[in-house]
Amino acid sequence: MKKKAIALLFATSLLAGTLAACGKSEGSSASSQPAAAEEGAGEEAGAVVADNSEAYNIDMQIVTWGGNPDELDQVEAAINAIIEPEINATVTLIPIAAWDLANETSRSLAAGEKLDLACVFTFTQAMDSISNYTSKNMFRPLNDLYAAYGSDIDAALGERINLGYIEDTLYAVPCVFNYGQGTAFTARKDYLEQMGIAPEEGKLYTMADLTPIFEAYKQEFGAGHYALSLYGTATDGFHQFYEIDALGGQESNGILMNAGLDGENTVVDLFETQEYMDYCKQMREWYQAGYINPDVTTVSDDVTSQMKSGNYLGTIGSTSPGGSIGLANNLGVELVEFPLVEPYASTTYASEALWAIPNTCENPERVMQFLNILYQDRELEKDVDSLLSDGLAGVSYEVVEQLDGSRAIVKAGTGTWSQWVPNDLYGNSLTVPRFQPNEASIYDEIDAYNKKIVDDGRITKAFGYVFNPESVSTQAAAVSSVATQYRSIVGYGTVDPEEVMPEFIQALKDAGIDEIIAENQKQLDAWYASH
Amino acid sequence: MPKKKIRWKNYVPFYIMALPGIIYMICNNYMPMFGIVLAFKKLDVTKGILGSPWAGFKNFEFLFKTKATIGIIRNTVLYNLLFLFLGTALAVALAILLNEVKSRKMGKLYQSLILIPYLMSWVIASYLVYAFLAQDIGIINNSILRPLGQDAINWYSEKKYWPYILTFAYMWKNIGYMMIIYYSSIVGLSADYFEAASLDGATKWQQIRQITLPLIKGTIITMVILNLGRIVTSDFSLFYQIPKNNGALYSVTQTLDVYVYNALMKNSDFAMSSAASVFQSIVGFIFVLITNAVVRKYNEESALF
Repeated sequence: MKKKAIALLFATSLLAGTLAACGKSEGSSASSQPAAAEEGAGEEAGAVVADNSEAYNIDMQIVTWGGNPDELDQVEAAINAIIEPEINATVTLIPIAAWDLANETSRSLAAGEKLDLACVFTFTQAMDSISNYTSKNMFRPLNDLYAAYGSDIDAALGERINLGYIEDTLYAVPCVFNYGQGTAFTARKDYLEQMGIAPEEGKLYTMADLTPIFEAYKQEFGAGHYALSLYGTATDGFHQFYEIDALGGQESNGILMNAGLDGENTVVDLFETQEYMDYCKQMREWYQAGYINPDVTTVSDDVTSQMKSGNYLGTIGSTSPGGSIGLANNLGVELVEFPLVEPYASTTYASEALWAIPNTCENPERVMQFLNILYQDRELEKDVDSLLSDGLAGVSYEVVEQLDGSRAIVKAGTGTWSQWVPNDLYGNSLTVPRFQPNEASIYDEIDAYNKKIVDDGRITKAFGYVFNPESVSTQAAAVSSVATQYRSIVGYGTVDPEEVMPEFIQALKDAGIDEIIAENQKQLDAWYASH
Repeated sequence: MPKKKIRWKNYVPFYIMALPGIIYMICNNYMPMFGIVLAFKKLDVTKGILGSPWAGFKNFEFLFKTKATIGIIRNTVLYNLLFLFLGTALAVALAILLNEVKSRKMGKLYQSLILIPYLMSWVIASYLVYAFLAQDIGIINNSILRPLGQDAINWYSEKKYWPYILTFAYMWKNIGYMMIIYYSSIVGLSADYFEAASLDGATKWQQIRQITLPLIKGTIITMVILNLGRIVTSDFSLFYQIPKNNGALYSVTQTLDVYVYNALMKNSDFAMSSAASVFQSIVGFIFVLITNAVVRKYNEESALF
């Protein structure tokens, strides 16, 4: 019998061997990966500065929506033709899907692989954060390099460089993006006209103001039609109705209500606020009235696909000049906006992507020089950030109207760059070419938009502050898990908030949210004191 | 002495056959054990794993930080026990039934049909389940309950159904695979026993109880012990994909792996995830030792070691 058991063990191991390819790919990879870290990391730490006579190759990540553009090599060659004579460096573009980026960066840096420019893709929603990497000592401090080579970056960014700091150390350089964001209910014009509704000029809508519009839609179109299209996973849409400052991190780590625009400096637990309760109650009302798809938390189609079905009136999202053109093009219908929150600037909103130089980089001086070039406003043919954002003229796009510098209105070319690569992550993303039906006036609109935010003083007091959760990482992990669990249900009205909220708040307290909030407050006070 | 040589020679082909599996085990199961160190470290990539400062048990704390932990571990263990015992019973029953199918062609057909779900990914399975259970367009609500005049059920927010749904989904997918090992043991049993038994007038039921089951008992016990080693390791995709990670269902669907995923997804903390797998491994190891000791006490023959 024993022999049999051993034979069976062999048989299972054999089976495991042959089936290895099908079974093992998911889930538990984390434990096996870091084993490789040992070999590389040790020796490469004391970086050797490469010989000046030899061109240094910069390995740079580029973010994609899951596919690689056809003209990747051509764009790479075009960039090299510009930068090699200038700074004696070449670049290798490494395309990575947006949703794999954070894991891929952590993995490759933990394994000690050479990487010269890493993208921290925050997506104006705190999707990722520099502290995720600095807590493992993956990024190089950039203070000296920035002072030495970053003059054009500084000119383009101004005080927005603060977004890249953790305490007094600069770890990453943000791309130039709109200062802030507003939000709006963006709805199909044809449906609204059929109902005889149009947004009132200059009015800011509250959640309650939207209810009659939703009701009218339901009366007009009936069952199977939902007024509000939502992508109901992970977090809720609270920040789309209220002004908050998430302090550069996850909302569950504490926020400033009213975005601190009213001068309030107290970090609060979002889920204990009256505002959050009001939001949940309103969502519950909408859910019960049938304005929201009852499967909202399970539907895995994104908003665009949902809207394409024609069964939805509109969706809620952030606004910026020309922002809804993409969605309108995709749907083939005109859209109008019901503004909910006026644009304001916070650490979270002002950062779309930050660029960091990892510790595995062998020639950080050259990389910083390259980064500096990205922020220079040049003629289109020589503008490296335009090449990265929109691809190659004549291939990725055709110029329709050339404006000054790298500004241009363009239309789709034969390439697939614009299909796969987001165009607002590199250098000064506000001056890169824009696609039709944007018109030349878009650049003035962008300037006016950003100027208004600054002139109106709609910049949070904590602008540039990024919470570093390292000392409370245990609590943060537990809180993050609890928040994921409850937000997707109370935040979309699938349960009665009056019933569930006390349980939610208690679970957060058990997970240690108060310690996180206290730590956040402590760091914020220290930050205020030094700024 | 020459006798021994011949025996060794006989085994060579078997060792060669097992070689890919052994190499796989060494690369995939033994080498990463080095990573256990990481669970007790505060990772600093410039210093490497060994050079990083020690963190004691700090990385383990998040596992026990929430009150939900008890529920999470309860879910993990109970689902695993349920899957193990129900699954084994069903798999053995199925193997015996399949062995009774006289037509070879039909036997192969049934075997393939039962095995097909195992080859499907949980992501696809989750959409099959969704097609049945969706609130407004699902088959059950739309084609069964509503025509019968019943109220539609919001499956994805009603906890009470999910232990059944998950068990059903797991059995549907894995039973074919679990069955193969028992089926092959049964096929391998000598036909003489059964012939002799039927000559003595034993019924089919008696043959199964008195001959088949006792003869494959060793296989069953071995498989059970091996599976108990994974008692706190859940099938992540099942518990994450099928309920679509719906918060309303967490109290009955969240297992340790899902919790770790939700907690660490946003900050990819290698040290904490290592801590979670070290915890799972140690509990699993203890379970294997205990079960083996119990089995040895009652039936030394069947124990693994």
